Amino acid sequence: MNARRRTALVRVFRRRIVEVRNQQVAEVRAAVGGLTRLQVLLLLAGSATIAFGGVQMLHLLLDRTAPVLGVGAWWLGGPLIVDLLVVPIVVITGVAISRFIPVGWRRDVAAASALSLLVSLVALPFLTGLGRRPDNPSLLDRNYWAGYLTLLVLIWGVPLVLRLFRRLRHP
Amino acid sequence: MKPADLVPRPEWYPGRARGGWLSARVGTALGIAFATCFVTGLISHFHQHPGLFPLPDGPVWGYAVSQGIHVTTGIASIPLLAVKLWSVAPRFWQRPLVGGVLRMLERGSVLVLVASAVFELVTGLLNVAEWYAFGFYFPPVHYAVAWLAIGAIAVHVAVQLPKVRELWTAPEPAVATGDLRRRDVFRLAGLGAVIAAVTTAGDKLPALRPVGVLSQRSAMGPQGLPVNRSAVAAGVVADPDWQLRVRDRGRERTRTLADLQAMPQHAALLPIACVEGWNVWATWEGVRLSELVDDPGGVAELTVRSADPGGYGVSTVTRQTLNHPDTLLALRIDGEQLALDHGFPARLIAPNRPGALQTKWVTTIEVRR
Repeated sequence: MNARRRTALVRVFRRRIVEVRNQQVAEVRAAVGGLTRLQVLLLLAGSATIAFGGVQMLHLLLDRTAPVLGVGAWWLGGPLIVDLLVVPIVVITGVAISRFIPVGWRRDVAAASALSLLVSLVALPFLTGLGRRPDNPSLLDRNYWAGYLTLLVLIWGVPLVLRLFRRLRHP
Repeated sequence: MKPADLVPRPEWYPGRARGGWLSARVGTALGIAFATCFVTGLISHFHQHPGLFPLPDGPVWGYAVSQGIHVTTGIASIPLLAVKLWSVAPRFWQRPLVGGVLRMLERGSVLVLVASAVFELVTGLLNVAEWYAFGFYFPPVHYAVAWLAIGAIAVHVAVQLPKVRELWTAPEPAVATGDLRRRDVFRLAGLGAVIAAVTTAGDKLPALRPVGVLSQRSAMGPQGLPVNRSAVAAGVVADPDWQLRVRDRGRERTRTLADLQAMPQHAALLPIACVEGWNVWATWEGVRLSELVDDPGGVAELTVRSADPGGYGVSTVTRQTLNHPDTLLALRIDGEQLALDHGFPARLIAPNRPGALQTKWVTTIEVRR
């Protein structure tokens, strides 16, 4: 590449940088200019609060109260597992319901499935019983599986019973 | 096919009930729930770090109620957050994936929001189930991430406010016959939250005990009272030669159990209110803590030490708490000598105070003036 061609390229490149910068500055300006006073207040307060939390976390990481890998994995793991694993599974289940369940039953099946999942999220850590300790029988001392299965029977049974009632009244 | 074609697109998500109408409503509910959790969590933090912020020594049920609200609201938020994340899920794949400065800032703040919100609810729930899968010490990390979460919520509300206002008054878009409508999903989220709250609150409200099938405890235990840290876990055994030592102004005074039993005895009906949310009331009897030190009005604070060498074996008693008439060095529970798991021979019990600070197996009281 000769010197003249190189200078030309550098000039084009520089011009492009300036363009992008100006465009970004204009975009940010336009966005900030359109904000109400309440929005500005919330943005400033929120950013300051995040910074405060970040400093607290940094302290914990530096004095080894919080292990970087452990906390990082549990923090970033949330959105990754939700967006890449749980939501796709739920979406595929939803597609399967709309594909294979008759129209008349679809809404009840979808509702009962969704509610079962929501309740399971809360029940899971109790169902594993992994928090139980032999020295303390007063901790986790309920029959969680019995309670959970009763909840599932109710979640699936109540719409079924309501349906039967409706059919009996309007055969 | 280019590699970029393999990255999912928002249109790939066929759910017909999700979208702004639903997100705005569940989001508003979540915002209220997280604000409640944050304030009650802060109250709990101030209780456990006396001196940061002055707290009243009453009502006696104060901590039982505020921590019960903290844990219950947090658990009820799990179904709400799940529905919210499902509703906004396609936005994760919206183009441009990275974009300019504004887009990066927005994505960054949403990442902090989602990561911190999920983190708080998951670690909080696991802590209540005492399943320490996360392997780090829970309270300081849960506290620090709470600031990230509430700050990110404020930023998110600022960004979405105009849209949320619009969506709250917008008509609900129609769906195909037989599909769940947006309002159905919103009701399901609410129903899930109510089921989560009611079934886990059996250890907080006695009326909910029969239906509290997912509660951490049945609220039973030795002498009708649950135990959080057992004598075995603390490595404590009953000591026949036990003596209480009170260190004050460079001198040490000792009292045997018989000495304490010979002093004027007082009774107080107080709850044990655990940071994990449960509470159980009992009538405690023993010696007023203020009657164990000279000139309690001139005391700055007390340090109460236990035979338990762990982190919960020490607690600080402020002058205010020391001088409350219901603050006792308890020797009996509902008329019976304390069980070893409840702190035999003597434990601290005071009004409006986390259970973790109601030190058991007390051995030493240090007075600072």
